[in-house]
Amino acid sequence: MNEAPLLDVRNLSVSYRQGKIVIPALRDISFTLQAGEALGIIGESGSGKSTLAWAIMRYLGSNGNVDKGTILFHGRDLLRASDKEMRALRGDRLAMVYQQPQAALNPSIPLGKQIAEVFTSHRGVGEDDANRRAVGMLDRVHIHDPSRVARLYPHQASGGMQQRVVIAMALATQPDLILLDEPTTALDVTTQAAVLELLEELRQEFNTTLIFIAHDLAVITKICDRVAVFYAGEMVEHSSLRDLFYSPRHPYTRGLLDCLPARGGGQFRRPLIPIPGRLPSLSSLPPACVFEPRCRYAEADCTVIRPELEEADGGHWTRCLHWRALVVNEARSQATDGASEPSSDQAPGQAPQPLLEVLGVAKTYQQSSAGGGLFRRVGQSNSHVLSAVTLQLAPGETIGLVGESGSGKTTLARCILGLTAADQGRMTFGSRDLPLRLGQRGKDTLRELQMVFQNPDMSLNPRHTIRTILVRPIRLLGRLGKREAEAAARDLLRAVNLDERYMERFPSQLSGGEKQRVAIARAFATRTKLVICDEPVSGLDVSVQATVLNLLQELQSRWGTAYLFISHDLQVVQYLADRVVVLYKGHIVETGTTDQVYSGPNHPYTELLLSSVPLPDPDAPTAHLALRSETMTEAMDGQGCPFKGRCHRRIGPICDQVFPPLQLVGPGHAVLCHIPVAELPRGTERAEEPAAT
Amino acid sequence: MKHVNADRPPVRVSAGQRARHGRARFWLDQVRAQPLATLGAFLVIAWVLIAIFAPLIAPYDPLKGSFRLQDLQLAPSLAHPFGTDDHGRDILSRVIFGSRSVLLLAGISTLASLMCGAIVALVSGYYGGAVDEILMRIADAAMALPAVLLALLILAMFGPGDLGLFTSTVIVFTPLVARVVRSAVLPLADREFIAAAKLRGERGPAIMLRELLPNLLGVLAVEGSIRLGYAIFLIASLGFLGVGVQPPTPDWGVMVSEAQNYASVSPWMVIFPALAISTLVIGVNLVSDGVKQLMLSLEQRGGDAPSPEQPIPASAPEVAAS
Repeated sequence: MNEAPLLDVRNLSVSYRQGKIVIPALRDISFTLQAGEALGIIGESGSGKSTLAWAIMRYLGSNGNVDKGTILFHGRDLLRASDKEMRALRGDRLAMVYQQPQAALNPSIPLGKQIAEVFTSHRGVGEDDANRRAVGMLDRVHIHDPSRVARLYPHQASGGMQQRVVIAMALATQPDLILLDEPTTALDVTTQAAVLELLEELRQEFNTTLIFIAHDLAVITKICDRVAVFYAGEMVEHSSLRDLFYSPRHPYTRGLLDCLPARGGGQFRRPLIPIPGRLPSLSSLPPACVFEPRCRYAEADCTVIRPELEEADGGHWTRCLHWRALVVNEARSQATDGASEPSSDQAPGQAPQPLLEVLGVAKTYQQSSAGGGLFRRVGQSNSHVLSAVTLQLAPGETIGLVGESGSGKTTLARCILGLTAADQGRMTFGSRDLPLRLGQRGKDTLRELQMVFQNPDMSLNPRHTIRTILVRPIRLLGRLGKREAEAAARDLLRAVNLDERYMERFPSQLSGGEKQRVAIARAFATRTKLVICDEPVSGLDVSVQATVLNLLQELQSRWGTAYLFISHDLQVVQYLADRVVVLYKGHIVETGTTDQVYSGPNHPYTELLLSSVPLPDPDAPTAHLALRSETMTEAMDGQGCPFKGRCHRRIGPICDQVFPPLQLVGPGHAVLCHIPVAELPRGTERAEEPAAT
Repeated sequence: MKHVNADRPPVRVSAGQRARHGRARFWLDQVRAQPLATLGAFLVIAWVLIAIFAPLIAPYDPLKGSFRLQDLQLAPSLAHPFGTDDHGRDILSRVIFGSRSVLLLAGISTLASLMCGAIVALVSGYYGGAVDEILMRIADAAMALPAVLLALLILAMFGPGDLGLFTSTVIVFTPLVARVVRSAVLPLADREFIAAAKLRGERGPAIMLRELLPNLLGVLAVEGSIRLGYAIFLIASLGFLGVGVQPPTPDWGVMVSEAQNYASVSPWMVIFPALAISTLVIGVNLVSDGVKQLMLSLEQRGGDAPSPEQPIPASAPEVAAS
């Protein structure tokens, strides 16, 4: 530590001007970073974490202004460097990786050339040499057949491949500091795991200093040594990774950890503890402690005295007046945690009469002739979206439907709802036959089968008031009079814990979590028996996800509704679902109760998915499967096992030639694989997650 | 003139601001932020007032000429500020009365083309497929002809006069409006609130009118203000060609056309009606730019917490979509 730090940020404050209003985006941020360290920055939207990255890169827009502070990089103040100096630094000593690789790559230049440009402009090497080095970099980021990929254009590469190219560009000049702004947020779980593994490996190899920005605590556990938690433009806690996870010293961090479903693992159906309230608007911040309005531990002085960043333990800083109360509380909750044993005895009984029965439903999309070959992404062929999917859902049951994007999850949901007409198959709902087309379904069916969509901004009409949104389905399907429908809508609002005054508001006047609660209320408007939830929490901030998940459970236990819960987040599924269905390329590769699927034996794809989930636990073991699988090429000849191209456990030519059998590995637990049941992978290392706290 | 100036930052309005200062303050802020649009609005309102109060303002009867040689083609003077024409009629009065036919006809036909265009766009964008294909190919065919040529063809069927002018303007503009509005319908039709409406059993017309149309009002306002400018222009052009408003009714296009033979001897006969056309068209176009900006700023006002991370380029906004 006697060395001068690589990066030294002192008292940095940044604000944005909007007309006459000045919005403080960052207030009084100080931290240092030694060479080779990795700092994780955690915060929800509006916490100022991206602003910090832009301030370091000096990319603040014309309305952004550094009010005070210094950013010393190698002892030189970046805020006072000339534009010319900054240009020389950026891309050479400082690099940045953005959330959206599509936005960072130039769509009209081949990938290899974009990397080569870094060498020609910063290292002044010749074009041939630069191209050779570019291919070398692609190889470094584990891209299969790099010289072929170097000739591809960005749109021809998958999202994960694009992000690895961006990382290759950032690493090309071996910069001293790389800023990663949510580099995996837009990616699939497995792709995310692959990118994280890659970053971990490269960090060790190049000894690069990293600042990793994320909204999700779990993502950074494998990469970072230290973590800084941002809230409403302030750094509220800063410590080593382990200290932060095991003994958070700020109520906000504590809250973030509490609302993660799989914390500690095994707590079946423990209600999540959401953080009450909503993120404050930066233009009207609380005067003293910014977290006070949502804080469980707040006391009278919290609204008066502005807390300073205070050292709680060695190297563990918190911006809270009452962090000592948190320590006491921690000891108490540990005592109670041990007492409550997981009650997994609610395993679903085999109901004699399933609510929903899907038999051999298939859907094929015709590849449009215009640009079918030219514009198709490498490693994707989506003609068979669903092939003969069969599943049953009992009344009041929750089935979790998991799989990567492109696995057909959403198509299956749309086919069940009738929004997309399936090509083949038969469905029954209750005692009735369920026609494939929406237009042929009666009002009774419509009433009992509803959906909650992923993004409430898209699923609520921005020009309708909440009243219209709720009353309309009640009147249309419930055959109620105007006044009764009004009353029913009011009851619904109360049921989703929203105030009646919201009736007159427009969706834009609600926060993301409130909007999603309105969308849930709408789905429940008509004594619904089955609600299909398509990633209902993935668009929400971490602190409000828990509220929505709790609400879904509460409504289920009140009305006995069944859920088909689509999610890529396996922790959420483990938390909510009775049974899990794993979908890969339109095939159900595994199905079983939640316990069966999470403890194995598993299909290799399920194993890959489970090992890819970032756990909010620094000590969880990692199986390095994702990167290997990701780098394998996908075979698309349509023969044999659908997963053969990416399988890390293939047993031989039989995988290429014969479609695998559906093997029964336990009561109600089936796996689509050639591997004998006894040899199927068991998630032993996952089953015994060390209990945190 | 018809394009939004790309460098001009959209005028930002926050809901909190509006709530605090009320509607009057909001418009005052808009006026301050958009001086050109305010000038345009001033021009348009001035012309509308002139048209309404024409009989009170006009110093002479616009139709009453003179057969005395010394009254013809008089240069502007105190008695005749805009001079007189070759029939000895007062040009100021004719310009004042000329605003009536232009504004009324252009206004009504613009409204009618907006309605027809919106209907075509909704049907085409919502149903898609073959319906969309057929409607849009017809629109393409109509748009392939130059506007004035198409209008002339239609006028040839209806004969010159107000009905012909109205019909031709509507037929010329409907496909243009439909094209623009359809492109706004397409992304909306994919939104999940449409799926939600289908799931509760709404029928097509209800979805189009209740769910889609309210979201199109902004586009329609912008499109309407643009089309109004073009309609004024088209009607004046047709008047100039002699197939529009028929003499002796005062019409700016007709006045310019009649005066062209005398342009070198008595330029005021051309200048003043031409000036009238251009001030009105410029005014309408400035207003239409302003409407566009206003819609942009209203759209960006999502919730009352303006995200400070939004205005920075080269990065995606923070969406927690892991």
